[in-house]
Amino acid sequence: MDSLPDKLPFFEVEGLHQSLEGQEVLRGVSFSAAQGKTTVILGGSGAGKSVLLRHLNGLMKPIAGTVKVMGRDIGPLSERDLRPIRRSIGVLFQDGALFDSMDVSENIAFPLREGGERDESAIAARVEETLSLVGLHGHERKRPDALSGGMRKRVSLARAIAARPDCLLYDEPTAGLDPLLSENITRLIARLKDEMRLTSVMVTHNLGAMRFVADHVIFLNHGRVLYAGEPEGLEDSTDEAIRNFLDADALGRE
Amino acid sequence: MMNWSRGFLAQLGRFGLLSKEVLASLLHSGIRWRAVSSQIVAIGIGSQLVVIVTGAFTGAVFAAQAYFKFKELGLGSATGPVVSIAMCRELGPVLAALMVAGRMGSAMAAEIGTMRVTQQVDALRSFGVDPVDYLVVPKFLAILVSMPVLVAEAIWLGMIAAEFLTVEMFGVPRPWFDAQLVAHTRVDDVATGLIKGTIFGVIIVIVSCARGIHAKDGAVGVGQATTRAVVDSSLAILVVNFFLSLLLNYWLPTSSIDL
Ligand SMILES: Nc1ncnc2c1ncn2[C@@H]1O[C@H](COP(=O)(O)OP(=O)(O)OP(=O)(O)O)[C@@H](O)[C@H]1O
Ligand SMILES: [Mg+2]
Repeated sequence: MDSLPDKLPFFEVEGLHQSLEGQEVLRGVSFSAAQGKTTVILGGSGAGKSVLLRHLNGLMKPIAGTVKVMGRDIGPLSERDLRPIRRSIGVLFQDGALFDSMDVSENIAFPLREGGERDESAIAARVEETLSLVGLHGHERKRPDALSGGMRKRVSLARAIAARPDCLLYDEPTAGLDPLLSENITRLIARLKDEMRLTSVMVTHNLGAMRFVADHVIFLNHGRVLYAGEPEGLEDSTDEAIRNFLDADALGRE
Repeated sequence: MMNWSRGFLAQLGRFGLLSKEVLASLLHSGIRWRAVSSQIVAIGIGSQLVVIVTGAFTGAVFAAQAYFKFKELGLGSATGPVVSIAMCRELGPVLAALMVAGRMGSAMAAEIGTMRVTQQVDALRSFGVDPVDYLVVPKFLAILVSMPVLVAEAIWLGMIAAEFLTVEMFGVPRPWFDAQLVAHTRVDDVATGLIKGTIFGVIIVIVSCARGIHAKDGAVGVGQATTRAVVDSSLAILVVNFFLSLLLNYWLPTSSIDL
């Protein structure tokens, strides 16, 4: 399956630079994420993973370099022109970013309504179904501030997938979950990819999850890509930053 | 001084930009009527008590002071017209707007600021929703509807309180008070108050929402944005009121008082 060179990558990032408050956060990041595959972005805290993810649906504009979505450079697009592209990409934010003026079911229904769905019974059915998928059946009426951190993350995941986007961006979907939930969510992400042929880009610290879902891995360090390739190849890397990261993880699991 | 004026100009630029975005959104995007109506409830219905109390007590205290002075001159019955003109043209719109700025300006900046720093604004954008369409325009439309009503109430309550005080406490005959009041209050006076109130409402929404949108990260940033929203919109109301008074006194002059 990997031998389809003519298939357009979903995301194509070229020489991406970003500075925030005088600090260079991304210094020439290039990678591509294939359609229907899961690309995992690894890297230490502060490496620039979340900032990189925010460029993929145009929430941030590069100060240099290009971001292409399905071959189209999104840099020059206005907020209005970005709308259809953004609707095809679901996002799970690192801190959930649930709308706290709405309850759980309204949060999940939001992308459906904004996508133009008017049939209330269809919306309700989809909300139910998506909530069960993340194991939160029965919590429909709760407000985000009445949820635990892990529950919030799962509601956010449900909201991201509710409108059946073509692509999903996950920012640390398993951080802050207990091991069992973490495994469930990882399996869910793998299933979404298999069943819906979703393209996904997942930022994570969780090497176990990475090994389970990744087709392609990018290791980011201080705003630069140190490794891009097969997940297996990462383990053989001799780069010091990567070795430290992998060894620290091994220690953490002993 | 340089820094200060640069900051001031940058701030004006933000207000201008947001105003432009609101106009563009009104022209090009559908209006979210449900959000508008819930904002009318929050702004219009929610501000009833403060506006009524403000209007009534301002009218009463102004009537008392005016009466004491006019009585010495033997012009006790001029109290009605003076209170009425002052309430219609200045006190009603300005005080109602200051109260709404305190109540709703802070709430708007806090809501939008919190949504920004917790990435809810980014979440909106990610779902293809324009934050200005979704968060600012409903408040803008709601305040356009609410402010004239609130100002009218403040004026009305002010006059009722003034009448009560002058007639019941100071013993000016009611028909006399009423006749003077009606004879010297013109549609132009009331229109002035309503126009001012509407403009102040726009100021409150634009200033407070812009402050919220540009809130710095963290709870401190939101707190600052909230304070600034109230301070900036209150100062803007007072300054703009002065120029509006000049302009409106020219367009919609008040009647001359000939007793
Ligand atoms: N809005 C911002 N303003 C200024 N600096 C920022 C902003 N967002 C991120 N940064 C900086 O950019 C760098 C990368 O941040 P980013 O959030 O991408 O890290 P990360 O790799 O996602 O880390 P973590 O794993 O802890 O989430 C950090 O040094 C951070 O201080
Ligand atoms: Mg991050």
